[in-house]
Amino acid sequence: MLATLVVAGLVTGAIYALVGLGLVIIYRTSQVVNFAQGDVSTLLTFVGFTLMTQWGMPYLAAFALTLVGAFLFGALVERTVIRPVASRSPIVAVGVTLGVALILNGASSWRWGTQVQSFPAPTTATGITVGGMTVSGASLVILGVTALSVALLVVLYRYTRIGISMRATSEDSPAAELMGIDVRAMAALSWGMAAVLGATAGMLVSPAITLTPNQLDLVVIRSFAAVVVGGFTSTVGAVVGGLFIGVVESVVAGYAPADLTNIAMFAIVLIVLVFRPQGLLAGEETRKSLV
Amino acid sequence: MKRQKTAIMTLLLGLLVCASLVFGAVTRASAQGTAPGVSGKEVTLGAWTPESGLATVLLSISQGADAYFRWSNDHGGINGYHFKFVLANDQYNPALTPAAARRLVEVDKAFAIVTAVGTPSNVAALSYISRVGIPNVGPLTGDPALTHPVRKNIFTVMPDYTTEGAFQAQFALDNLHSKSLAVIYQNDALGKSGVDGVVKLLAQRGLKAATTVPYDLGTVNFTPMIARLKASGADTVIVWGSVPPFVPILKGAQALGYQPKWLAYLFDAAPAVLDQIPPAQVSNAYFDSWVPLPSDAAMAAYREAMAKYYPQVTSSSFLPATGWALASVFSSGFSRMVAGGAEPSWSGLEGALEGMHDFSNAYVHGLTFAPDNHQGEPAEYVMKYESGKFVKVAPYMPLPAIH
Repeated sequence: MLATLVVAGLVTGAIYALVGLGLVIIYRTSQVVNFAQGDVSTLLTFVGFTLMTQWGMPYLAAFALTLVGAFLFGALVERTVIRPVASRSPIVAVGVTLGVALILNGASSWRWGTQVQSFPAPTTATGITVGGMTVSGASLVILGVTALSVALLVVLYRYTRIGISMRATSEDSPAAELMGIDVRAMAALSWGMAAVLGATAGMLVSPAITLTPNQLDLVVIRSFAAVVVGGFTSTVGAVVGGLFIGVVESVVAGYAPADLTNIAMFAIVLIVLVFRPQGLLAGEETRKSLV
Repeated sequence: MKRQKTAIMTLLLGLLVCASLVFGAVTRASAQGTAPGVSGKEVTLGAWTPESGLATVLLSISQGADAYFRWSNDHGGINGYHFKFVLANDQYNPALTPAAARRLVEVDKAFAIVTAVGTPSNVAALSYISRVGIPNVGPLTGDPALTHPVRKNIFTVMPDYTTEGAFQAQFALDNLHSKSLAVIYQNDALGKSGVDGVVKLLAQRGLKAATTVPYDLGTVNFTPMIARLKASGADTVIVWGSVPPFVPILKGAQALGYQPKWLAYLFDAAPAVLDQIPPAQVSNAYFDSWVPLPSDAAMAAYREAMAKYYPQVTSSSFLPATGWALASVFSSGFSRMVAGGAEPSWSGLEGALEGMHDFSNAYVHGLTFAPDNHQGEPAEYVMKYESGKFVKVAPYMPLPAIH
């Protein structure tokens, strides 16, 4: 049973990681905690849903087109509502993201209704069986796509000019600007990438939990917990934190009284905040920026 | 300094006077039996409902009720009275419900609250609604707090969740011949009331649940909960929670190779939900309901009205059908009140509703209110989902006495 719980926790944790990565990417370049990440993801998932079920597009084509739209949408949000308040206190931008969240939630309800919708699964394959335990095809897709996303991010940040420019912007924006880096473009890029990750998470998890305008509310809360544990400036931390929170949630719920699940998870978050507020895998500089 | 103090005291006094006037006006209306919310032949009705937030799936209940009142208006209303149905968005958040209730009563001047949505919401507004005395007819909750003890202005139609949970356990034992019962439930007032009924019925028979497993609304990973159910050896699982989790629960069971019989309440019986679940699990699922099948011939007006006023809402779902049925109960009570030419009043409506005994229309069955009983539906039937259609597998059966 433990192995089953751990695998289920890793699959759920991969979703938390994808959403958490979006939070981290935006925080690194904009110093904004994006409370709209869940509603951006949900809205874009509905777009994918429309392409697949109403326009009749093949799954992969609709998935890819949604990601392209997600990137443009994320960049548009940055350009139209975040950039105008970027020079003001970060709390203003955080407030703006809350407003964006409410607007997008209302838009999803208005456009697609509030009833439960069925989102197509990426695969109906049975999956693999190891030691009597079956891991479904959909779960393998979630794990695979998350691994691929992390790998692409690592390559982007370490080996490409754009990625290095994004890192420079996150570490010292004025200095990066003096070096000729277009920091505004980097911010738009990061918001676009975060939207892509959010849309990916939404489209992967929806077949399992059904599609509604508020489907990701609890996922986003768990993802925040994951990012706090891993570190708000660490992409690796977001992934490790997501997987960690997913496994803890699964194992505790499997063995302990259910009320202890939340207590266990948020006790971990509190302990991390008290003893290592920058997160387990983030650098010391985060402590300063968070304070 | 002294001037400042005087100004503050004056302001506080002014606010107090205003509040007294507003609140006093409302309570006087109740005491004297006059009718706020009635302007000529237009009657304003109100409901709080989640137009946004975690439970927007329940909004279609209010849309079903609204369709009923619009359909009624389009057919001449009742004795010439027409209805205006006002919604207040409380986001299914009990912290916001009292303000939504105040808005409906004090700003919109509703004559009655009809089909107000949500267990936590109705419980949160209970104190205010009881104090003001405005009729609350057909609240969308089965929380026993609304009906036990009886409150003169609150009339629930649907069975309370504790009684419904007991009914499900009774059906499992007597009709499905279940040997071992487990419950998976949403960890809030809704789920806890349901599991309470199951446990009480089992206790009446000298039995215990194999296990009771809670979950939080919004949970993604149900594997741990399903593993517990499976480990308990239960051959029947009763599910108590809102609609969306029903899909991952049954999918999770399929993934773990667990195939018990399932019992759930009517809101889970939505084609859009059931079509997402492996057929092997759906074929083992039973749903209890007091609302007739939306596909019944007698529900033709409902289907036509939904197609006309809310074409985007799936009328085959029980959610809007429930709103429609509840609105029909208010409408029947209102009709009885004004039948002899009486003016609408709160006390008149309460008296008319209490006079409904073994009342049936196309949407409710054997409804009975009395001065000592404000919970109307006395029976439920059970259905299954087969080949894309709901079919009754057990007729209306009396609800067990559990309180």
